Amino acid sequence: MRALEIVGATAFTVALYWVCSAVQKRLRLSLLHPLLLSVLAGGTLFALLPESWLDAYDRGAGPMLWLLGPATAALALPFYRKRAFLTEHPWAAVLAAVCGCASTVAVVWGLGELLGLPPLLMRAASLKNVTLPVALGLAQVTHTEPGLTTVCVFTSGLVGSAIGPALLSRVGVRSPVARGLALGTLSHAIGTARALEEGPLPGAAGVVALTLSALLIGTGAIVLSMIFG
Amino acid sequence: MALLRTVLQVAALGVLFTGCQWLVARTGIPVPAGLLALLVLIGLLLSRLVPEKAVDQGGDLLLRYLPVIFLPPGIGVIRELHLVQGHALGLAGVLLGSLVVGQLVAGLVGQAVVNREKP
Repeated sequence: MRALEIVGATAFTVALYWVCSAVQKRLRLSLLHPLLLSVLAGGTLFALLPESWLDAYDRGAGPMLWLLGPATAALALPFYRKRAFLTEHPWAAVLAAVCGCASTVAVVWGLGELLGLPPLLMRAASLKNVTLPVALGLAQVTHTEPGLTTVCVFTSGLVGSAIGPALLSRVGVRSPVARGLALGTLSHAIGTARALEEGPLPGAAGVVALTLSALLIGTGAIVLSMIFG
Repeated sequence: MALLRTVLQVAALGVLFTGCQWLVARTGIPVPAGLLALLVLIGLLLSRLVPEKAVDQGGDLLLRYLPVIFLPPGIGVIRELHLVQGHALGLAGVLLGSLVVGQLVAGLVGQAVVNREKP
């Protein structure tokens, strides 16, 4: 039974992503990321089915989810390959990532408090600019719902890469380094893919920025969870 | 041969992650095992204790298919929709506001530092 659940969940996940990628390619809508489309389609399907089907899918997807750990470690590769960028622009990379992360988290908690959002939602929103495999690990440590965290991370990636370039141009940020840093810090891998479209230099800046922001938000979240439990 | 190499490299990354899981469980440090594995691998690559070619094929394979691995937790969000009920607009406002501010700050700070670096 367990083996059947694993095979079924894996086959369903791969097939769903494959179909949604094909649909996205045909529609050519950049905002409709295949992953977002797959989540919407899969979520709608399981909402219509008895809950026991989702339970079985969760059990079957366990081994695939475990791969998230080795995949997170593999993020060291793009960072290592672009390490020359960090030696050329160390202060720009570190300061942009620190200020970008600090300001975005400050707005989450300030505005969230003002709008009366529950702390659970603010914790998920604080992890939005961390690349998903790291964000899901941090969600466990900070007792945040993984699904909510996933939605926040997607929103930051998709919306940030869609509006970011125009927004940065509007305020006069024309430096390729700065544009890549802004996109990588706030919109992680999806933003970095967008930065790569502007050239190799913004792409390299994006890779370094996404790693730095994962480490910064990760350290902050871990320290705060140690203090406040 | 290339397939065997890729499989072995994925297994090696799995061993690294499992080792970090064990360390986290043993010491009780509140660090996600994946994040610890990422830091350890960055350290190993930078110190050249592990050459890039020892993990490149397996690592690139995992990164290429990362979106597929994200799907199960993404679909799991339907269990948590009740948490957003009554706060959907507020959450959207917070996400958009904090995203715009963060992007502007990161971009402007980055540009200011780059301009100062120029000779």
